[in-house]
Amino acid sequence: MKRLAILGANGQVGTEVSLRLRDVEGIEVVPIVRNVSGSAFLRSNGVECRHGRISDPAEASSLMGDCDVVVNFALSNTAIPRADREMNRQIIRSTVAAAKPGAPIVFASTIMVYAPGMNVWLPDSYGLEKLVAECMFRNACRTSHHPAFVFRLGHVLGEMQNITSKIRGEVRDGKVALPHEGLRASNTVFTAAIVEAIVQISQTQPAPNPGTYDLITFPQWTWLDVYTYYAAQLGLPLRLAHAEQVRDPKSGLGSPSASMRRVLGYLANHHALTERLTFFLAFLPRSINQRMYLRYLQTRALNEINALRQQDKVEFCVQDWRELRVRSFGQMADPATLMARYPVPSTLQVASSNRPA
Amino acid sequence: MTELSGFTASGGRAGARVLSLGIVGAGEIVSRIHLPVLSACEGIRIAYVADKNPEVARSVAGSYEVAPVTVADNLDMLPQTDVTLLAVPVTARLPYYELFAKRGTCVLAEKPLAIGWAEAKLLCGLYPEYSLACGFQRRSYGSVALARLLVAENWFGRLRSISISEGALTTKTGADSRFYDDAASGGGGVLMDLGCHSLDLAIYITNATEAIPLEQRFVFDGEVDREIDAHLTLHTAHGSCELDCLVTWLRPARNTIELRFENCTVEVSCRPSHDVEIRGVQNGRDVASLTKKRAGAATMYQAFYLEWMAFLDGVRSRQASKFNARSCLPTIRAVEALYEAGKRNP
Repeated sequence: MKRLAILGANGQVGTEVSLRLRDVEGIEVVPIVRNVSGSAFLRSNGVECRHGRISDPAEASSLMGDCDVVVNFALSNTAIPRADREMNRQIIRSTVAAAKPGAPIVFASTIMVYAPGMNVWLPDSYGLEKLVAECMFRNACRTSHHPAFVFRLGHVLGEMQNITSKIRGEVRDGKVALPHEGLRASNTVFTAAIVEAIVQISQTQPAPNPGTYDLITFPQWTWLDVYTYYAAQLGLPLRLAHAEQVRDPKSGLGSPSASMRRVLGYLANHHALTERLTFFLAFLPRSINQRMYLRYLQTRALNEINALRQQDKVEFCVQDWRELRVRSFGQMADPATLMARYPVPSTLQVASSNRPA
Repeated sequence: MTELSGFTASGGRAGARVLSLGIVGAGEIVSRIHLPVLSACEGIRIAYVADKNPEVARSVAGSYEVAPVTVADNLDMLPQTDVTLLAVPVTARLPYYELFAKRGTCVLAEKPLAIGWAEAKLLCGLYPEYSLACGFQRRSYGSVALARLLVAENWFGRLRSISISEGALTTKTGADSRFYDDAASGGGGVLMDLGCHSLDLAIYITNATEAIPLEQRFVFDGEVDREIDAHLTLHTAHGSCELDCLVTWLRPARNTIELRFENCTVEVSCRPSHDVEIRGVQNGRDVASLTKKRAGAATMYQAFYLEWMAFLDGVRSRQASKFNARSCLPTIRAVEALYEAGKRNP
């Protein structure tokens, strides 16, 4: 029996991973949560939890010192960047120091380190923080001789994940608009695939090579695959919007007249600036004044009418991100098989039932 | 599994026939409202802007890169178009109505449609129902569409009464003040200028066929009415409903239309909006807001745009829009009846 510590087990991903690991043969899952309130849900589902502060080295040692594998989903997120950074780094230091000698440690990172929403590599603060934390984690593991696994998680799909709830809602509403008709890779991963990777680290002989992996369904699922999967699960048809029914955030950009419209549109919404420009306009001939004023009204009308036209249109359900080239974590079964292999308790599967309207 | 299905988006105009449009009258309402809106409308080509004053015609038309036309005594010189916006003073409109009816040109007329009910009815007889409309653009407000639905479907029980309170301390017309000072031109007077809109809303929301004045109090400033406080009865297919109407240029008003139902009061703003406010009958302090998604206009330009789109769609399909002139007759009759009663007994 391998004992497996899950740090941050009351987070969205940590909770579902803990639940899916609960009944895996040969594994004893040990969710570690700061307080009993945080672990109530897991405990109510029959999962025993440990409580304490993993940022405290002494407490961390007693919490995870007897575990064979440590998986770190913990993330401080107080919205005070300095405090979060210090806490997250402290958790890494403390975890590596407290883990049983030679125990593999998994650090949950993110594909945001690739800045998938940008054409150039410029990660957001979350991605950058994770990137720095990855380096720190690898160095700490190297020094203390722990096999280090970095999992860069894609959009996580699963019974308890917000993205899944959102997708199901959109399928039910019959309003699904996908960029590139849904044919672009989704960069998603199912919780069951994360579980499978953890199980492989815990149980497979020889153990997978330590390293940095992109935990993304491989071969990649397109967004159309993902929505089709959930539509089938709900027993509903997937209704895709036609291109002309989709709100285009880039419409009207590019031409010189569009540039003028943007300037006038900006002025229409910034009265402080408009009022100051008015002083200088008064030096121009009356005919030019009138023409500019009417053009301003024309722009304002167009903006308001465009807003009205867009009312009928649907927004893209997902962001139009780059497809990532995946450094996959070895061989895995397809997501449907994995979700069946590591089920969540049936009481949680309310979202998959086809509720009457 | 994947089913490609269309939503009910109004994307069907792209292939519709392009209609030519002439504009007669180049006043403030045209240059500030209609032209900005029309230049954003799909499926039309603005052929000309005409005015008696050549300089005004040139200036306004030039600003929108449209051909100016000076209106001479011979109206036949006006270019032929599919549709015309008629925005000259109401007392000068009759020859235009006759000309466009003869030509088969569809007309959207700024309110008021005519000086009185008899003339309005006569004009309606000159045109097919779909081809003559009157500019009561408030009918396209999102809140008004919602209020009409609440009444039609009895969401809150039977509608018992309506109370209108609209106006402000000053007129702040933003337009040539002579127009508002000249009652003879038909533009002057708070009832004709502002009150007709709120009366029309009450009539439109309830789908009333008639609004009968029972009592009224006017404040006249010479020939021009500056305030009216009136009590009317609305006749609808489901019975009658009391209507109190205060419209003023002399003091602040709530600028709302209150619909009193059996179970609650619904407040509709006189300004463009998507929402209505609901108050319980027991405790008027508790307010809830109700929104109908994608119901209609939430700004003035959107209101005029929807008015135009509805009218032009009606022209293409030969189906009367909700702005058709015949549907405005009860409003015109109520305004006229109030003025007549007011002059007899102000």
